[in-house]
Amino acid sequence: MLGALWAPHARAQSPDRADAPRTASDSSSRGSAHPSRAARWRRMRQKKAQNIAPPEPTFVQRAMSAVADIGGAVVPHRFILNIPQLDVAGFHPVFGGLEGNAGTTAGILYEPPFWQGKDRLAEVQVLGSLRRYYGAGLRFGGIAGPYVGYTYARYRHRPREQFYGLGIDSQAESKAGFRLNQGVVGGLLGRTIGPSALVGGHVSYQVNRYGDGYGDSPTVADQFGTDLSGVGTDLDYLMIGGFFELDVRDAPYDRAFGHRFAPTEPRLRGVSLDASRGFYLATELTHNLNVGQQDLDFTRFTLDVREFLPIQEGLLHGFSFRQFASVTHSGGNRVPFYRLQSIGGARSLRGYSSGRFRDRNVLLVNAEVRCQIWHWLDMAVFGDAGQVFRTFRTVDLDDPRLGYGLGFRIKNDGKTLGRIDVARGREGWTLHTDLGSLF
Amino acid sequence: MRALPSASAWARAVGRTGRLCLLLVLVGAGSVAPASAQRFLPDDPLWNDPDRMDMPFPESTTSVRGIGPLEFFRRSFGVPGEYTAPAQNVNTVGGVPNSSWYTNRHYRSPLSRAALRRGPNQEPGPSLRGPWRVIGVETRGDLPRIEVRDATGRRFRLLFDAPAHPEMATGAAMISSRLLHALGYNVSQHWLRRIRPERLAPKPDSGITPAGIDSVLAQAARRPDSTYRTLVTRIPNVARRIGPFRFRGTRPDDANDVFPHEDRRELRGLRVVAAWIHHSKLRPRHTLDVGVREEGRRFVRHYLTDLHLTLGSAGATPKPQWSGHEYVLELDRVFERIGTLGLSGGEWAEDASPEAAAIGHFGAKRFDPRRWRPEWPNPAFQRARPADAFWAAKKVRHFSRADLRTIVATADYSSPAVADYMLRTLVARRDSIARAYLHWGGGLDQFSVRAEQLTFADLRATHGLVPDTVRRTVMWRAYDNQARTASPILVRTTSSRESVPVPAYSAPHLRATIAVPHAGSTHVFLRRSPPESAGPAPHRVVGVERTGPASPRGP
Repeated sequence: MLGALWAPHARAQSPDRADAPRTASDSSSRGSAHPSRAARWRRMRQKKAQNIAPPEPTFVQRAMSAVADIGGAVVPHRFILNIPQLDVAGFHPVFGGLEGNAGTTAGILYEPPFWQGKDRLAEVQVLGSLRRYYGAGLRFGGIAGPYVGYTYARYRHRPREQFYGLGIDSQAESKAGFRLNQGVVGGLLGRTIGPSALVGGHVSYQVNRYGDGYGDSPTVADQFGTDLSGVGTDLDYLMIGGFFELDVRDAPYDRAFGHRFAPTEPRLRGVSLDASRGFYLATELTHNLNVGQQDLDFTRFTLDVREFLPIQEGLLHGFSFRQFASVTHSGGNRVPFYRLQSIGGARSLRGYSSGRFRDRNVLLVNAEVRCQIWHWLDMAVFGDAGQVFRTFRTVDLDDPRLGYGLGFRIKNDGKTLGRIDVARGREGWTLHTDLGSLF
Repeated sequence: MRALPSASAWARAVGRTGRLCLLLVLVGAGSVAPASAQRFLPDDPLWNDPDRMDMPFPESTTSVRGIGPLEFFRRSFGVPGEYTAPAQNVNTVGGVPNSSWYTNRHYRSPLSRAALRRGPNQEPGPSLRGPWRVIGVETRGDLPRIEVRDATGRRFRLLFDAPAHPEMATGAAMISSRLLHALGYNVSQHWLRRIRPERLAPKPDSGITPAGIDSVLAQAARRPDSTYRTLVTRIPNVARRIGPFRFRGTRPDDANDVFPHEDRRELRGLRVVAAWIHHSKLRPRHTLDVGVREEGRRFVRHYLTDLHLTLGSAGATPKPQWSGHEYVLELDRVFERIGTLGLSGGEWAEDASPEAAAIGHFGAKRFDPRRWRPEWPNPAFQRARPADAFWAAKKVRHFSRADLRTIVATADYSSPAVADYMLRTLVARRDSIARAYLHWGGGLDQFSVRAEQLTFADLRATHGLVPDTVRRTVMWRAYDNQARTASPILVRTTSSRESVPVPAYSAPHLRATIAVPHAGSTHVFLRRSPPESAGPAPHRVVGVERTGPASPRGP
C-alpha cells in the first residue's frame, strides 16, 4: 500500500528496460517459494531433469550428417566423389567423363591407394550414361625428375553421335546419326624444360568401329551417301605424335597429376587451371597412319593459345582469351568424317549443339570477361567465333559462326566444379552444362 | 570541480513529497516481503551458476548436425529486429556467473603474466619419456592430424601446419587459446612442441603403420632442421565426448542446460570476441561438449575448439578475403555484383592487409567490429544487444599491450616481424572494439561501496576514449524491491569524480542513476545490509542496469 503512493511517479521515471539484466528468475520464478537466486536456478534444472528426453534428429539433420563427410573433386570433365566409407578401398563414384552426346553420366572410379600422390597416377573407371553410352578406361603413370610418362587404354561406345554435313554451311535440319565404338591404347612420355615447358611424344593405337546410331535420325549413309569417307568402314590407326607445351599461367591450387597431363587429344583442349593471369601455349603434331588403307592417312597440327589478363578491380577478375586452330593435311587422301575436327557445344563454340560443324580445318576464338558474384560462384560474359573449312583457299573469315551469352561457374577453392552457359547462336538459344572450366 | 553537496544539502533538496515517500518507504521496510516478488534476492548478485549438478551424461552425437536449409535461410534472411530480449543467464549486475560455460577470469581478477602465458594448461604437456604412440591419423580435412598417447597413457591430439603456411595455424591456436581462456571461455589445453619423426611410433595392434605416419608428416610443414612444429591439444577430465553444442535452444537431454544458448550472454558476447580474433569460421562444428566427473558429480562442460581457424588462418590456407565481411549468402550483394560485373559489391576485395605466410589474412585497417560477421549466421550473435557487446568489449579492452605481448609470444613465431604485426593488429582491433561498444550506459563499471562512497570506473576515460573531465549527473532514489519501483529523486548532483557519497538514508535499497551526457545512463542498486551484519560497509551493490542514448544501435 505504501509503495503504491509513489509508484506512479516511479513508473513515469522508469528507464528503458530493453537491456536490463533479466535473470531467469524474473521471467520464470514469480510465485516461487525459493528464497535465493541459486535455489531458483537449481530448481529449474531439477524440473527439467524430471522431463528429460534425448534429442531425436530430424530427417534433414540425418541427411546432413550422412553427407557431411563426403567430399569431391573435379578433374577435367569429371566430378569424383570422396565418400569416406568407400575411400578406404580406393573406390569413388564418378560423374561425367564420356564425350560427345553422352548426357548424364555416372560410374565407378578405382584409384589404387598405393599409387596415389602428386607425382603418381593410377586409375580404372567404368562409366555409363542415360543415353546408352558407356565406356571404360585406365591410366597409369608417374613423374620422375624432369620426366613424365603414362600409359592409357580407353574404350567408348557412342551410339548417338551426330553429323550435320561438312563445312560451315551445313544445315541443322540435315542431322544424321551414327554409332562409333572407339578404343585407344598407348603411352606418352614428356620432359619438362625449366618450370614452364614440356616437350614429348606419344604413340597410340586406335580402333574405330562404325555403325548406325540409335534414335530417329536418318543414318549418315542415307543422308549424305555412302561415298562419304568413313561410312560403313571400320578403321584402325596408329597415331604417332609430338607436342610442346608452355604454361606460365597462375593457378589458384596445386596442380594434380591429372590436371596437367590428360591423354592424347583432350590434353590440349580440355585442361584448365582456372587461371586469372598468364599465358598458355600448346602445339601438337600427330600423324595418323591407317592400318590397311594408305589412302586414309592424315597428319594433324593443332595450336591452342590462351591469355589471361587480370583486372582485379573489385571482384572483376579480368579477361580470358583462347585461340584454337587445327589443320589437317592428308596429301590428297581421304579423312573419315568422324575423325574430322569439329566445333560446337559447351567446350568449343557455344550457341550450337555438340559437333555441329566439321571439316578438316578449324579456327576457334573464345573470349570471356569473368567476375566473382558469390564466394562459390563466378559469372562470365562470353563471345565465341568459329570457322571450319576444307582448304585455306576456301575459308571465309568474314562469315564465322558466332555465339555469345552469359555463364555461371560453381567454384570451390579456386576450382571450377561445374558451369552453366546460356548462349545465343545463329540457330537460337542453347543451354550448355559441363563439369570443369572451358579454359 | 564542483564540491559534492553535504548530507544536509541533500536533505534540503528533497521535496516535501519525496520526504513523505521516503518516510513511507522506511516504514514499509520493516515489513517482510515474500521472496517471490523481490527483484533482488539475498544472494544477488549471483556469481556461481549451479549448472554443474549431478546429471546423467547426454548421448554422444557422433557427427556434426547441420542446421538444415530452412534454418540457414531463416538466419540469412530473417529480420534482426525481432531479437529484442535481453540475455537470461546474467546476474543482477549484468555479469555472467561462473558456470560450465564460462569462468570469470582476467577482467574480474587480473591474471599474472605467467598465468596468461600458461593459459588453459592445467596439466603437464605430453611426456617426453619414450615415443608417442600413434593411435589415429587423419589426412582428410584441412590439416594433417595425429592422435597419440604419451608414456603416461594420456591422449593428445597433434595438429601440423601446412607446408605453404608454416606457423600460421598453430600460432593462431596458441594465441587464441590464451585470449579465450583469459576472457573466461573453456578451451582445450594447448602446447607447442617441436618433434622429430622418430618420436612418433605406431601403437601396436592399432592398424597404424610407419608409412601411414610418414604420409601424414609428408603433408605437414617441416622445419629446416627436419623437425616438425606441432600443436598439442588435450581436454582434461573427459569422461565422454558428447559432440558440438549449438547456438540456439538447449540440449534436451542435459538437465543442467536450461538457458537457451542464443540467450546466454557469454555466447552473445562471443560475437565481439570472435570479431577481435577474427573467428569468422565459428559454428557448432568448432565447439565440443564433454561430460566430466568432478567431486562426484557428472555434468557437461562446453568448449570452443579448432582455434587454429582464428586470426588469419583458415587452416591450410589464409582466410578468404570476404570472411568477416559477409555471411555466406547475401543475395543483395550477389545481384549487385551481377549488375556491375563485380565492380561493386565486394569492397572487401580491396583489403590490402599483408598476407605473410605465417599470418594469413588478418588486419585491422578495414576492421569495423559492428560490421564484422561470421561466415555462417549465428543465432546467438544475431541476438547480441548493446549490453552483451559492452560486457564483452570491456573484457577485450582490459588486455593491456603488455598482456597481449605475453600472449603473442606463446606462438613462438620465428620472425619477430610477424609477432610484432600480430601484436599491433590485436591492439588496433581491441581499440576499435572499445570505441564501438564501451559507450553503453556511459561506460561505467566496477561498482562497489567503500567507506560509504559509491565508486566505479569510467572505462571510456580509463582507455582514453573521452577526457576524464566528463561531468555526470547522479540522482539518488529509494527503491522498492518488492514493487520494483523507485521513489522521486532524493538527491541530485553532478560530478566528474569516479566516486560519490552514498546518501545517509536508511532505506533498504537505494538506486543511483548516473547519467552521462550523450552516452546513456547507469542505474546502480544498493542494498543496506542488516545491522547485525553490516560491518564497515552498510551498503553493497546488488544491481547494475545500463541504458543507452535515445536510439541505441545494435552491435
